[in-house]
Amino acid sequence: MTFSFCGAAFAADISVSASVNSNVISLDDQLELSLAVSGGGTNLPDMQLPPLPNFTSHSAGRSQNISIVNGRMSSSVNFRYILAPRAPGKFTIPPIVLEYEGNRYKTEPIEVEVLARGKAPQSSRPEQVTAPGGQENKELFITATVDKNTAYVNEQVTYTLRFYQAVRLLSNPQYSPPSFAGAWTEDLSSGNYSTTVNGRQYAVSEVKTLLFPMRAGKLSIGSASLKCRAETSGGSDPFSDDFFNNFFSGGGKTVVLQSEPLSVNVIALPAAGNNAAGTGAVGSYTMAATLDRNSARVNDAVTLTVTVSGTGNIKTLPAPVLPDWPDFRKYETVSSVNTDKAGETLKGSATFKTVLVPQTPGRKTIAPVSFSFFDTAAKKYRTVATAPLALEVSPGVAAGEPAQAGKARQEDASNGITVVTRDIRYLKPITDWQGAGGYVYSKPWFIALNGLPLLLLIAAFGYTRRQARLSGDVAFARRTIASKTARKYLKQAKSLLGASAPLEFYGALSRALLEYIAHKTNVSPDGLTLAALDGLLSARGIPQEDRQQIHKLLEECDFVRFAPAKINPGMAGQAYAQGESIISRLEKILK
Amino acid sequence: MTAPLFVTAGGAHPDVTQAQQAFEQGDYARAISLYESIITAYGATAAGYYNLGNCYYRNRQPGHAIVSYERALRLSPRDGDIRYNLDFVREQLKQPDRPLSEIITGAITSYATINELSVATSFLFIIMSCALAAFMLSRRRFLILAGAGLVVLTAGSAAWLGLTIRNRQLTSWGVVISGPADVRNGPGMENSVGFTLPEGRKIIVLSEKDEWAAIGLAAEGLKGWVEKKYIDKI
Repeated sequence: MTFSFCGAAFAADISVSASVNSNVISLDDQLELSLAVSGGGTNLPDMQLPPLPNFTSHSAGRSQNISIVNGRMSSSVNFRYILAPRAPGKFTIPPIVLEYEGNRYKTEPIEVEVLARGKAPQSSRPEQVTAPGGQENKELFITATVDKNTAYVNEQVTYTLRFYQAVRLLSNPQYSPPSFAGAWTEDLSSGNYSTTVNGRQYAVSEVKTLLFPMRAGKLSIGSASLKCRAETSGGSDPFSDDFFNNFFSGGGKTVVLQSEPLSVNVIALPAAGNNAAGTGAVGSYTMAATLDRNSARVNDAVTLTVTVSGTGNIKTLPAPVLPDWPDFRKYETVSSVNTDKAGETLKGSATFKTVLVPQTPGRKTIAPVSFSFFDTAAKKYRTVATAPLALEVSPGVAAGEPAQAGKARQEDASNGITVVTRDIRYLKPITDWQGAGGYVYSKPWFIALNGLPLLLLIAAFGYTRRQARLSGDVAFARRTIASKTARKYLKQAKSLLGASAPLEFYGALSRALLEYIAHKTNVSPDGLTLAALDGLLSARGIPQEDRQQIHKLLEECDFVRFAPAKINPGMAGQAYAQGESIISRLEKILK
Repeated sequence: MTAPLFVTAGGAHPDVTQAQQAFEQGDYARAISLYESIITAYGATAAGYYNLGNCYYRNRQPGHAIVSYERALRLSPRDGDIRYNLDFVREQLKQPDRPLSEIITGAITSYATINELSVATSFLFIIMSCALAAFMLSRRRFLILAGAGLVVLTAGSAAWLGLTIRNRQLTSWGVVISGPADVRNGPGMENSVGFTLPEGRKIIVLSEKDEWAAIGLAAEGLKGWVEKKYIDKI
C-alpha cells in the first residue's frame, strides 16, 4: 500500500494531497483515490476531480476532520473517489490543481499500473486476506453472498456481507461497501452473532444490503473491503507492556480484507399482458382506497387516499393511474412512503393522496383504481384493485361565481331549470368566408360616394342664390331676360315675314331691338329716342359701326311704319337678318 | 393571400372539418394550429376566431382565448356566443370589475363595427343632404324640420364612428397571454419590476421598442414596460 502525503497543515495556509489505496490493481478491481485538503480554518474549499480518460470515476463521499492540538485548530476535508480502470497499462493520475484565494495548490502525480483481468496484483499488501475459500484457520475474513443468482428487474436481491473475526481488533473496522452500480440499494440493519467455522469460534458481524436491479443484464457487485487493525496472532494480555506498546505505537497489524466480486444475472420482466399495464412494479402488493368523507358539495375538495402496501421496492413504486372521472376535477397526486426494514425483505406502504373536486351534484361512484405488478413468486403479472367508493354530492356554489349566483340558481330551479355546469359555448360553423375586407371608410369609392351629396348641396345652394338675386335685383333680372325677350320678338317677326304684314313685321323687329337694349341697360323702352339709345350703347363700349347699323335699322323700321306702301319683301328679309346679327353681336359685348 | 371563391353550399371546408375533428378528439393543440392556418389562408372571420378561442380555452391558455374572442367580437360585435364565452373566460380568471367609465366606453364602442357605423353615417349624410337640397329648392317647411333632425342624427352617428375608431384603431389594445407578467420600469431586464399582471388582463399598448412594449392601465393609472412575449395585441 502506498500513500503519498504532502505537507503538514499550517494555520494560515492550506495543503492538498492525493493518495490511492493501491498502485497496482487488476482490470476488474477498483482504485480508491482520496483527495485531502487540510488547513487551519474550518472553511476549506472543495476539490474537484478532473476527468480521467483511463478510469471511470464515481464520488464516494466527503468527510471532514477537525482537530485541535495545543490550542491550534486544523481541519481537513477528504474526498473519496472510486476509479474503475478501463484498460490495462501504466497510467498516471495527473496533479490535481486547486485554486484558492489566488494561490494554486497541486497534488503529486500518482503512477498506477493496471494489470490484465484476472491477474492478481503483485500484492504489496502482504497481510491481505482475499480468498474466502482458504478461510480455514484465518483469524479474520469476510464473505459476501447474494441470496439469488438470477433475479427479475426490480426484484429484491439480498447482499450479505459477513465479517468473521477470531482476534480482537485494535480499531473499528472501516468498511467500504462495494459498488452496486445499476441497482437501487436499501441498507438493512446489521447484526452480530457468533459461530463456529472449522472448530474455531468466530464473532460474526453481518451487514445486509437489499438490491433492486434497475435494468436487465449482468449486475456486477464489486468487492467490498474492510480495513482494520488487529492484534497480532496469539493474542496479548491486555495488562502486559506489549498491550500498551501496541496501543500507543499503533501496534498490531493493519489488515485489509476484500470480498470476492459477485454478479447477478438480471432478467427483464416478461411482456405485460393486455389487461395489465406494465408499471414496472415488482413484488406482492395489496391495495385500499378511502375518501376523507362520504358527502360533499359541488366544488368542495375531497381527498382520495390510495394505499399500496406489500413487499417490494416501495420507494420506486409508480403512482396508480387514476381513471378519468368526468364528474370530477383531479389535482396532482401527492405520495408518501413508509418502509419497514425489520425483516429480511423490504416491506411498507406507499400512500397516494389526490384531491378531487366534484363538478356536478348527485350520487357519484368512484370507480375502482387498479394497479398491476409482477409477482416474482407466481412469475406472472397480477392486478389488484380498490373497492368502488360512493360519494354524495350536493349542489354548491360554483367557483368564480358571484355570491348571488346561488340565488339565481334557485330561481332557475323554481322554473324547472337547474344549471348544472357552466362552460363555454360550442364551436360555430364558419360561414362568413369573405372575412374582414378592411375598413370601408378608407376606400376611395366610399369617399367619392360621400362627395356626391356635397355636390348636390352646392348645386342647390347655387340655384337658390341665383333665384334670390333674380327676385331682388331688377337690373340683373332684366339683363337675364333681355335675350329671351329679344328672341321672342324676333320669332314673332320671322313668322310675320312671309305673311305680307310689313307693318307688324317691322314693329316686332324694332321692338326686339329696343326691348333687348332697354333690358340690357335697365332703362324703359318707351320714349327711348335714337340719340339717347346711341349714348347708352356708346357708354357700354359698342363700336361706332354697330351703333350706326342699329340707328339705320331702327330708322328704317320707323320709316316703314309711316309709309307702308313703299316696302318690298326683299327689304324685309334683309332687315330681319340684320336685326338678328346685331342682337347676337350685342349679346357678345353686353353679356 | 388566396381566398377560395367557391365554398360548396352546406358542406364545410375540409380544413374546418379537420379542425373540428381535432377539437372533438381533445387534440386542442392541433385544432389551434389548424384554425390559425384557416384564418391566415382564408381571412379573418368572427366564427374562425371564436372557434380558435374555444380551442385555446380548452387547451388551458385563457389569455390566448381572450385575445381570440376579442378579435372575433371586433368582427361581429353583437354575437351573443362570442360575448358569452369572453365573459365566461374572464370570470374564470377572476378579473376585477372594470370601472364604470370603461364599461360605458366599452359598451358604446363595441356595439357596432366600424364598417357598420361608416355605412350608417354615410347613409344619414346622403339623406340629410337630399332633404336640405329639397328644402332649398322647394322651401317646404317639413323639409327643413326633417333636415334639422337628420343633421343631428348624422352628427351623432359621426361622433359614434369617431369614438369607435379612436377606441379601436387609434388605441392599441393587448392582452396578457402568460402570467404573471413582470412589468418593469423601463425596457430592459436591468429595470426594476413595477408590478405584475395576471394572465388575461386587457391593457393598452402605448409604444414598442425592440422586444419590449410600453403598456398602460387606464383605470389604475399604471404604466410600465413588459416583454412582448407576455402580451398579444388584439
